[in-house]
Amino acid sequence: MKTPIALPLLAFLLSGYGNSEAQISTPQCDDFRSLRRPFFGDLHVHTAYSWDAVVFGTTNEPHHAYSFARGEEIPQPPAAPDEPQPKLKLRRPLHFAAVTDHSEGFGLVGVCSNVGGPGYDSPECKVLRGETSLPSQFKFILAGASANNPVSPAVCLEPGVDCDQAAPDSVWAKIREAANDPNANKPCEFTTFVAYEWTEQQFDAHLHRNVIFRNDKVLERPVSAIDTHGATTGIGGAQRLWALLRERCLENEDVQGCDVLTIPHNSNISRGQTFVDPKDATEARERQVFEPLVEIMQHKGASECRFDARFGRGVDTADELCAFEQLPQISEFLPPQPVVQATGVPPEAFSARAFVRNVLKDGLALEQRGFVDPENPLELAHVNPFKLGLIGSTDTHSATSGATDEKGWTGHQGSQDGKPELRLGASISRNPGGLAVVWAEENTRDSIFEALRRRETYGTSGTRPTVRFFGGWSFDDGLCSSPELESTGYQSGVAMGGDLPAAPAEASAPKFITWAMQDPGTNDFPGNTLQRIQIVKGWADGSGQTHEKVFDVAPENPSASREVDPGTCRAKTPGSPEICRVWTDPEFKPTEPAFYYARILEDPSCRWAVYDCIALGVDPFASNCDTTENNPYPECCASNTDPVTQERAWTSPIWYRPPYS
Amino acid sequence: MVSTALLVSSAAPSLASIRRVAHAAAPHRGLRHLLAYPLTRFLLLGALLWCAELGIGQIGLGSIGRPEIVITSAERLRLRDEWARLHGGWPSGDEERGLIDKAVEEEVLYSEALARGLDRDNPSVRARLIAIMKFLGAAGDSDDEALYRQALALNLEASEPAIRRHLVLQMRLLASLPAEHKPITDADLEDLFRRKTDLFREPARFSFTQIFFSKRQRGGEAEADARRLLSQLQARPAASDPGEENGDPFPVGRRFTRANEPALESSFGASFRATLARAPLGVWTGPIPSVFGWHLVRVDERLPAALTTFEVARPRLREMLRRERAEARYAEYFQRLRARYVVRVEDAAESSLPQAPVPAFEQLVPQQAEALE
Repeated sequence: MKTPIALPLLAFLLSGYGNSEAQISTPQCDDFRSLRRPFFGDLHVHTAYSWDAVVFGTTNEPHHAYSFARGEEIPQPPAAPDEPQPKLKLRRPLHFAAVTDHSEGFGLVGVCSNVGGPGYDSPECKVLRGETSLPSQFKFILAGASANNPVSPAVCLEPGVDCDQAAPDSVWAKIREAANDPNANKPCEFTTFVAYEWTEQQFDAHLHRNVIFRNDKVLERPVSAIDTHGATTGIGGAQRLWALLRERCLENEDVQGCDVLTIPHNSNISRGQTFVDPKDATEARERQVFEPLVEIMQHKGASECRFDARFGRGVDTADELCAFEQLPQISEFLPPQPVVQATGVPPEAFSARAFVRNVLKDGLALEQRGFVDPENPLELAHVNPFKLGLIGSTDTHSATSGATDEKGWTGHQGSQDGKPELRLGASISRNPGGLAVVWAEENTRDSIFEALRRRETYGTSGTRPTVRFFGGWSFDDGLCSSPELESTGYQSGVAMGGDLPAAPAEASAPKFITWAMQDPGTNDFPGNTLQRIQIVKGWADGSGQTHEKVFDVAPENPSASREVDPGTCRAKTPGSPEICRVWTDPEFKPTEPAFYYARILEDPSCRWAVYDCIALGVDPFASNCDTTENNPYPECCASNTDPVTQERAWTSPIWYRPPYS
Repeated sequence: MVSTALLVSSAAPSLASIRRVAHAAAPHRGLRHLLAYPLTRFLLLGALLWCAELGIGQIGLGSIGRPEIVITSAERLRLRDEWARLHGGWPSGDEERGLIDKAVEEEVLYSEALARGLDRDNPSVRARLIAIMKFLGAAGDSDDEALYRQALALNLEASEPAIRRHLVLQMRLLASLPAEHKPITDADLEDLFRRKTDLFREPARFSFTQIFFSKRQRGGEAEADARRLLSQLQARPAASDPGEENGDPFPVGRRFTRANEPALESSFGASFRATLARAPLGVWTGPIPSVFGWHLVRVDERLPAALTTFEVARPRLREMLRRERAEARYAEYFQRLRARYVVRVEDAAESSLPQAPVPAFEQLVPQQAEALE
């Protein structure tokens, strides 16, 4: 029952043209579509197996996270230990999800959840289970000191307590069981991945990565930050992770078929340490093998780029739309949030590589400069170490996979943000997080994993627009009206995440098709229309300097209005449900390496805080909105927390590589 | 009794956790040194015993011979203060009633556990008491057994929140155990399956082809174009697919096979789904509006919403039933147990905390609260 075009196209794609790494999985589902479909998912979800979820009252387990993603009801973590647990349900189910609990805490979580077992009554466990009267945030620190500390918590030294093997193994077994449960992972309908989070922390800088396995052939025990710690001096812990994943998964004959990738997140609070210069070409290639993607948006902010209107400048950018869902601080701990909320941190204080667009630019400069290649010492290898496709996810710590709606958001961290009053305090810079979207032939593990690997993905700030993005040299300017749009995109170009093929002699500049359809939404909460398509170009010039430029591609005269009707939270001047445009780079230079990605902006709408403020009786849109102490919720009215947001999608880039030497 | 838990529960965990905090945060070093002095430990032991002393007598005999549980005003204050520390605000009336109910429940279970002697010869309790005696510096030459007996003589367990917790939990587990072994039969599972039908519904599915007429491409003509093609299609004898050259491209696809309702809703919107549910089979119908334009649709197959088969649902049903029975047993048991006590709740006292909202912890120790997610 395939479209007539399917078989030739299939053969064509199998021939290796276009995305050189692409492999089409064998059709398994009735609705296999060789031109691929968009599937929406969440690859960053925590449950009660994460100690920093338990301490905030989450009791939901991995199977809850998968049920929730499939559209079933689960209990919300209570906003306080004795409060009732309201039921939560997604307005629309997801297509795939991965539970990514912190592997470092598996030992402690395993010991402390084994009722009556050895160590169950230890102080650490009571702290973890919230059975003390310490303030919850204090518990958090205490548990953190135990769980992420390579020195075992004291309870692990008690007789009969096995934090190193038995306990983590039991937790890891339950995680695998939940993901492999045929009621959760249903080929053609819903896909789960066995996964965990490697939680490396260099002082206050996040180096965290989610480790996603292709199928049920996985590590016997996760490689945690505790395992990789000893080998790291200062920066670069991920190299050790990849080495161990190679040894214990990719090249381990005992688990044939093991395949894995790692997805970094929160580079915004990494001090730039997530993306450091590889020492040679081998390391740069290894990075490409394991790390094809980066999570650009989640509940702790967007990491695309940073602009701060209070200073009138950004971190290596002048793009004002980068002032979107920014965490105020440079790293996890410093400087203190109340201080930075009030005054702001100057852009110069941030590392440029805390933001993905700058990392992509530096990747081009490094490729242009070249690396020493141990495999061929006579020549420099022009490898781009930072070829990163883009996804979003939530990072929920309440097992609420994909709960990204601004309206009705109930928080992602249990008792820390389970109530409007709490969210409007210290969590004001947080948000409901984003989604990961893949273009895959069918909803199966193999098909989605391949899409992740070839970077045919995009991230959204939580909504569900459909976005296609193709690059090539010969697209007809009328392609947007052709029924052959998609097949032409694949046949004479590459999809998002790919490399432009070598330029034909007659070509003068690359062309890009961007085709976006709005999120249709649901009856009670319709989606936003689209305001505009932008193409973000980054390049390195002959002297190794990097540059960026944002092109407003369509419509010709975008209404840049940020106004919403406060009564409905909808845009005053709505845009279009569908935009398509073929665009030619007007400034192309064949000697300069470049990347291009599309950014789709929806029309303005209300940020989550608006709904909370209104529920508490404060109207953020009121002209007399009170920022003084008389207002118990001054965040509702503060000038640096805009009630209006602009949801968006970011496609994976398409790269142009000049002929070197 | 309840106020015993008050004073100790705020002290003991802090003590117990000091060894972890001490090396994490330098300012606590002084405290650790302080604890090394025998005098400090002696005073602490005194404080513990004093608390225990205070606590006893709060379960007295009520006027009609039933034991009485008193939630003192001090205890209420503690509950409220603890709530305020966690939430930065005071509990509402309902919230406070919930806190009190919880405290009563715990007290009842604890008393019952003691009455049944669950604390005697209990290895966890014993180990805990010995550890406390050693921590307090009472070890001397005594062996573990002697320390244990000393601790019992001092009634130390009555002031130890961990033991209290443990006994409450044990009692709760006991109360949830079945009185006699009652196997789970297929009939039980089938009954649950019937009662919880909603949990086991599979969504409706549709196989269909759609031809899209884009508002973007055709503007106001989209609907008319769709109607024109529809009348041509309806004039043909067979409900054939007129081919890709008709209509506009739609990125989610043209042909859908057994797509489920939720998936359709996220691609086309909710109203589209409703129309599909009513469309006749095997013929072209429409045009159906969506936010994108208009769609002609030919539905080839419609699988109505159905129940998961019993066999597939079985493992989940078994787990649900086990939990359901345990909860019911506990609820029933607790109701009977509760009736044996007289509960008296004293008037609320004024709180010791200032009435202004307590500063959020983040403001005191910024950022750590976000650590390591």
